[in-house]
Amino acid sequence: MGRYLSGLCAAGLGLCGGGWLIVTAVLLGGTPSDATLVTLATGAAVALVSVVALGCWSLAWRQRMRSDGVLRAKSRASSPRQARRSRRALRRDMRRAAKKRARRGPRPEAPPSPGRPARSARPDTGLTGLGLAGTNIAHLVPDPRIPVALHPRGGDPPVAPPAATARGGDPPYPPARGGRPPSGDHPLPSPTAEAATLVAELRAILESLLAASGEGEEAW
Amino acid sequence: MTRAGLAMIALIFLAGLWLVAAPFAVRYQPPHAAWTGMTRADVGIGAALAVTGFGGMIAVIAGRVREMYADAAATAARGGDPPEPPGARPIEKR
Repeated sequence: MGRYLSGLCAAGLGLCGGGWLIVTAVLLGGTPSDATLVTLATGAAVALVSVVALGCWSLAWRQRMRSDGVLRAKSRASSPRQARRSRRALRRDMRRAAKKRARRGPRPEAPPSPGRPARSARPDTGLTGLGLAGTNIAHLVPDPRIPVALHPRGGDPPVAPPAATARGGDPPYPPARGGRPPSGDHPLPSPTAEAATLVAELRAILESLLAASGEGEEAW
Repeated sequence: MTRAGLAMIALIFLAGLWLVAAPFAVRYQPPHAAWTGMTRADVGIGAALAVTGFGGMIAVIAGRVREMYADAAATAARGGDPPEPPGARPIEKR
């Protein structure tokens, strides 16, 4: 820290000296002569160099403080108009999501309506990176429409077909809906249908919020 | 950025030297005559700028050297002895 302060002090004193030279040339100069011109030019140059030095040292100090963690990294500053617009869009999307939820009612699993976009056509809202989107979590939730008794091994869904594993290749991913990836000796617990409904609703709300805020993966 | 700042301070030092020498180099101060007001101002401010620039450079370099000493001391305290090279034989105690 000492060297930054020293540099700033030297630059500040240089700025004072350059300014004083300009003032002296104007006050004591009288008629323009070589002396006045030399003093004026040198004072202006010293003042300019001192201003540049001040900027350089302050920038260097800021960089150092940022790398040390004293200063926060630069964040995207949004204008008030942009912030207002994004707040409005967020509110509108929240209302839309609430209406959609109210229209769907308490049905546990509704077939997709024709107006609703397909699951694959939805924009990527950053949930994929968290493992909460698409088919990445589908294998955790059994299909409530299939009775438990129909699953082989007393409710455990079928794992990868033996042909794939016999060839030494990876099992197909994602597994079929209601299935579960092979997990060795510690199988994952299968959540209930209520949990599946909750997860789906939460995901719909989160997706609409993230799409409205426009933050995407940067927010995470 | 630090180097640029140091270069600017060196320029201030050089400008101070120039100011001290300018009245005699440009010859607006006649030799063997009393100094005019402009000469006195130039030499005084030039000397001050030269001292400032020189002191600034020395202080910046000293600060950098002090930081290097502190870094070396912190590294030694954190790591202790330097790591043994692979394949080195242990020293036998008699």
